[in-house]
Amino acid sequence: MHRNQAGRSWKSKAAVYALASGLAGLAAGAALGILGGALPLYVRLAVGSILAIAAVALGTFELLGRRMQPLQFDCETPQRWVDKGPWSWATINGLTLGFGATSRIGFWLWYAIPLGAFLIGNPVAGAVIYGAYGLTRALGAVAIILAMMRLDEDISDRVIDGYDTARILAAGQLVFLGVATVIVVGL
Amino acid sequence: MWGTPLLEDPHRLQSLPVLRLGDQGRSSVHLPGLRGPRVLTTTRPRLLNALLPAAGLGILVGALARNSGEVGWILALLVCSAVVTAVAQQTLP
Repeated sequence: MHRNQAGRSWKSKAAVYALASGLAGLAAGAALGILGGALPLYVRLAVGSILAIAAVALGTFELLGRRMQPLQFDCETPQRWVDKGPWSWATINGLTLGFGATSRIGFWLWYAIPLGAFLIGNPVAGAVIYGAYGLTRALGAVAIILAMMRLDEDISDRVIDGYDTARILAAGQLVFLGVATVIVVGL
Repeated sequence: MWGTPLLEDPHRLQSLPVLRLGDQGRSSVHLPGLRGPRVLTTTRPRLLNALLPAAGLGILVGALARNSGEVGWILALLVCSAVVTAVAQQTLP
């Protein structure tokens, strides 16, 4: 995003980027919801219960300071995409980050999105879950750029410094989600 | 090795493990001379403090959701998790 904010039309590129990211999330969520709907409800409930217990365990370990790297492709989106031009870059990067799975994930909580969209077994609900992720991820980057323009300083280092806080937030949310899901579907 | 006085070089001060005060918060104070619990643990600052509220909130919302019998609760929880994930990922280098 930073490389493309220079021109006057950066807002259009940001809009394309956000739209692509949201669409990627919507499509992925709808597809997972359709796939999940093919499974019987009792299977989804059983798998959901096990995963909810795993979520509580992972979140607890994380909050107790025992870090475990999530399974992920530990990379960013390819730099060479910038050479494709700003519009293509905004579209491809948006689609990739809105889907999320092919670049750095960083937090175990991310897995709640595709697994939740799959296990809920409904394309609309799946699209809402994954679409919320895609749109928020893109709008977060746009918000950072707007803040940088308003403050007239590079705040990216300060954002990255917030990683530890983000880790606690994500692990807490994982425990919260896991405990609530265990009570609702597992007990 | 120590060309300048230690206190005049903050970078070198940081290289001394004993002075990295930020790292000391999670360490334990061992009290071998005492019977019973031989380790006096210091507070684990924000990490442990987040566990109980998260679990408590999960129990509360889980109980409410179970009593209401609606799927909307789970959907709301998952959407909330999706948003939290996306916000947290902004801090990835």
